[in-house]
Amino acid sequence: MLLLRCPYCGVDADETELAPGGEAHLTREGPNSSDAAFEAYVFLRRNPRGVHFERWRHAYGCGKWFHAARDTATNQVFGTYTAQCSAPPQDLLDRIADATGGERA
Amino acid sequence: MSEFLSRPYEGFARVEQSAPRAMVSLRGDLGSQAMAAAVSEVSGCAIPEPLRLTQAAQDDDRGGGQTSGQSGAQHGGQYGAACLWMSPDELLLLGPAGTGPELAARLTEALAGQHHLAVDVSEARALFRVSGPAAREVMMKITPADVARMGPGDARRTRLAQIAGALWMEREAAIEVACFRSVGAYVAELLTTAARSGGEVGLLHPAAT
Repeated sequence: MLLLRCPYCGVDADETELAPGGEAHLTREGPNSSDAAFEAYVFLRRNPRGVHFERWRHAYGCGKWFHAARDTATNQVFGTYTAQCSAPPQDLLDRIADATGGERA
Repeated sequence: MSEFLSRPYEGFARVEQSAPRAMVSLRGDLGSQAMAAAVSEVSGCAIPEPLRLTQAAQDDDRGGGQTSGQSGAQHGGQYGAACLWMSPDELLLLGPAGTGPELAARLTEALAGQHHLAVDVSEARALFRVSGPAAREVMMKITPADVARMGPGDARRTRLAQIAGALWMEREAAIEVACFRSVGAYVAELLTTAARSGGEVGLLHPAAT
């Protein structure tokens, strides 16, 4: 079972209160992008074994989207952060580096 | 308002359908002064902190010399106006039954020029009350919310078994439950089943077992 702290309301939300939103920090390819780039944007995901940045929605709570950093193999949660950013915050990246011994996120 | 429980159910906690109340959903910038002024003017409540609710002083305390100085939480009778925190940009205002359209109209007027939305949702929701010393144990069976740590003044939206709902406490040992009216019958069965005698958990209130 996964417990993620919603950065908006502060609730330690149970997994069943949340809706998953897949990989975070995707860049949307616009109308002038190449077919290959657009295909990658729509279909291709990292699916790592290890640290993964992903989107979640507090669907049964405040209804807000947020981000979480989670280890896909152990379900260890490194932290959650708001949706108003296009990359993970540096302090979270530092924490992950400390926790994983420098494994590249 | 639809009737889902014709009379209170007495299990190891009491489950009843609450008397109708006006419910107005209000969205906007909760940190703005205009919002605080509008909510205070219309409902008499302050803007609640996240996961909390505020209650207005009872009408009979107003202008009567503040004899008791008690809030609605201490009165044994009617529940007064309340303001529930729903999300970083949403409140739920509770008021006397039948006043929903008026409350929404007054909020819209008070917030003219501000980005906001005030909608009467009284008829869209069903209200229940689970009360008694073991009321929290009933809720623990059907929601992932940390009801063990909830007390008067706490409010939160969560999941009730398969559906979305809200829980809050305006007074000790009584948990208010709101859900969409369309799933009211489901919630009535859910609560009465969870409260059935013999189903005590005994975790928070061993005396009930």
